[in-house]
This record gives sequence, structure tokens and C-alpha cells, in this order.
Amino acid sequence: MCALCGVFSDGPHWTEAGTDAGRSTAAPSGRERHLERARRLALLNRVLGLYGCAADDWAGAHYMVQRRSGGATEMASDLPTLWAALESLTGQAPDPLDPALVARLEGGPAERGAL
Amino acid sequence: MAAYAKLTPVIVVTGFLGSGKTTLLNRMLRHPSLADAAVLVNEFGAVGLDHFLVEAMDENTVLLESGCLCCTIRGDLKDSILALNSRRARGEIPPYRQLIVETTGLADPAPILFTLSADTVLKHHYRLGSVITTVDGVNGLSQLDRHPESVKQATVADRIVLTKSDIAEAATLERLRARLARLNGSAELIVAVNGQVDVPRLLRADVYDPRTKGAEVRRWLAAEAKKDAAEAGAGHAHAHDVSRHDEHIRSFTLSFEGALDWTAFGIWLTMLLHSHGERVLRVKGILNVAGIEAPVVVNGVQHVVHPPIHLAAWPGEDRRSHIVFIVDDLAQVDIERSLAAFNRLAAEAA
Repeated sequence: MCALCGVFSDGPHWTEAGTDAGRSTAAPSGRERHLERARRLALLNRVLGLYGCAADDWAGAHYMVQRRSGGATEMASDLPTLWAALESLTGQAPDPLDPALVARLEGGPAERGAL
Repeated sequence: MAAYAKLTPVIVVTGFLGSGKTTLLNRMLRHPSLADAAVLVNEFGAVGLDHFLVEAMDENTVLLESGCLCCTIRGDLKDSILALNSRRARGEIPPYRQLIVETTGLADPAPILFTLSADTVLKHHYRLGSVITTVDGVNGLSQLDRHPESVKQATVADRIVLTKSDIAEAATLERLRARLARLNGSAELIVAVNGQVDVPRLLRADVYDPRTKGAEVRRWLAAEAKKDAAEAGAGHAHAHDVSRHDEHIRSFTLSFEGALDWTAFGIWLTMLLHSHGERVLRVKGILNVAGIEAPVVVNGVQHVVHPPIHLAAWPGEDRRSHIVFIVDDLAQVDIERSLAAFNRLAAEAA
């Protein structure tokens, strides 16, 4: 547990752990993990932007999710909790099968306005 | 911390009431390859288990705050395994190297799998081995019709043992086979005849065992391809009975040319499971991940995704990603299009 914020942490989520739960020789190094996290945030923000939200990194361990217009900030320790945070902020369940979302992702950056 | 492959594998034996789980277990336990296994049963039934280490657990469950049924910690299972673990560590019981968990006939296996992979202590000592589901050759069709637990048990299986085949009618067995293939085409179907079952075949492959994981992935894909060919041959001409609650549950395989972006895949799958986890009964596959030469295997049951693993090499010449889905009323085309769109997003960012 983090002594500062009291958030429990029990190892990285599967999306961040490399393969074999980060225990194989394929486990990423600290630097690779950092770069991967930055890239994940960049990709995430393209999706979150469609919901009028954005995420930022907090101490390399959590995501801070907020509406672009400001207001409350939700903390998320991994991707599953981030989607729950987004749902809490927007009041709608983010659905990757939503045809409107998929159409915007397919349309390229110019057509990627908020849903 | 032990390497993942060195954790104690847990074999889950499930199946509906009266489908022959205990008979199968007795047969399995006579095999030398399970001589070092401990067994956890929900109750001591009428049929005794002839084995050195059989423990019973008291059923109690802890529902997590999310309230999601599949993400429920089974307190009974956790406590029982932890007690066994302590006794093993203190040398009070033989040092078992495998653990078999027999569920009740009405159990939804998803919380059991979740408990094994999510509990803070358990996941550092144990890993999922395989799920074996018994299906009653005589009553299986009606149980699938009437009991959602029976459907769940079939969809999470790595091996399905068709029991009572010697007393079931041939036509019934054929319909049951077709139904199980549609529900979970990637599971290996093993027929028990007069209570006899090919135990080595039942136990031979485990996706997390470094010695067998490549073979297991090959088998998944071959079984799904065979099912798809059979469905294409039949022209989907089978009658649909809308009163069956599993009518909308089906398995299919998505194949992707070119490499998938691991980061985009993680974003996409976690988002899919957040919104549709209870309808994604199973997702498993082999991925060609951009920047990584060896394939990566993913394996999930509802909201629970097991740690992805690397194979040492591709199991054949095919370098495409193949993902097997078992879904309840989700369209294959929607899932395929969505994943492709997320993958394209990553290509733009590169």
C-alpha cells in the first residue's frame, strides 16, 4: 500500500505487466514501462476525448481522469478502473462497440469530434 | 516470487448435478499423474473419493463492491486453499504439486476462476491449470435448455467430458455434440464410455504449462476451424429454438492479418469487458503483437483476464492473430470492426 495516499496496489494490471505477469524474460524494463505508459496515455486520450474527457499520469502509478471542461477528478489505478471512472464522470457506459464511436475512430483525426 | 509456470496448477472440475463429476474424479485420481494432487470438494457426497488428501469446503461467498457476479471472491474456496497451503508449508500434509477443485453442480464457475486469479495471496501460490466440465449425455440437452449454470459450465471448459454415452440415444448425443460445439467449439470433447475416460488426454495440455502451451493453442484453433467448417457445410440450416436461453450464445474466431498493437488491444479489451463483460463469456487467442517476434496468448473468462503468456515460437506457419470469442448476443462483425478501429488508432499514433 502507498503510505502517502493509502491506495492499495497489488502488482501491475495484465495490460501493463508484459507477458507471464511480468515474470518472464519478456518483462519490460523500467524505462520501457515508462515509455509504454506514456504511449498508452496518448492512445487513451484519443478515446477519452470522444467523451469530452482526458487522463493524466499521477506518479507513474495512477491515472487522473477529468472532464475537459474541468470539475471533479477521478483516480484510476488501471484500465478497468479508468473505464469505471469515465462512466462515473459522464454518466454513460463507454462502449467500444458503439457504432458512433467506431465510426469516429475509423474516420481519422479530422472527423474525431466528441460523441 | 515463483515464476508463473512454477505456481501450483489448479484443475477445476465442474458439471451439472448428476453429470458424473465424482465418478470422473475417482477415475482421474487413480492415474499416476495425479498422485501428487490434493482435492477440494464442496461436500463429501455419496460416492467417496479414494485419495490421500480430500478436503471439503463450506460454501460462503463475498460479493465485491462492484456487485458483478463473475467478480465474486469465493470465500470458501479461498479459505480452504489457504488452509491447505499453510498445512503444506508446515509439512503437516504431503507436498502436493497440483490441486483439483470440484464445484457443486449448481456452481457458476466464473467466481471460482476469479478467486484463483484475483485473490491477493492465492495468486502468488496458485494458477489456473484447466477447466474440465462433465456434461450428461442423457440429460445434457434439457439441462442446457433450463439451467444457465449448465451453459456457463460448458462455455468456460477447456475439456468437456460427455458422460453416460453408453446409455444415451445416438441421435441425442449427436444433437448434444452439435450444441456444445456451437457453445464452445474450442473445447476438446472427450467421450466417457461405461465410466471409462482417457485420463492422459484429459490432462495432457495446459495453456500455462511451458511444455504444452503451444500444443494447447494449436488445439483451440483447430477445434474452432473444424466447427466453423461444419457450420458452413450445414449452411446454418439447423432449427433455431428461440425459447432456449442459450440461443444467442455462440463461439467464433476472429483472424487478423498483420500485427496487432498490444497497447491498443489492452485498451480495447478492457473497455469491451467493462461494458459487455457479462456477455463475453470467454475470450482466448494467439496474437501477433507488433514488435514482438514470438506470439502472445491471451485467455479470459468474463471480466477475468489471466496473465498473457509468450509462446517460445509460433505453433505453425500461420502468423495471423486468431481470437476465439464465446459471446451472448454480441455480433461478430461489431467486435471485429471495433478492434480493427482501435488498432488503426495505434497505427496513426506510431
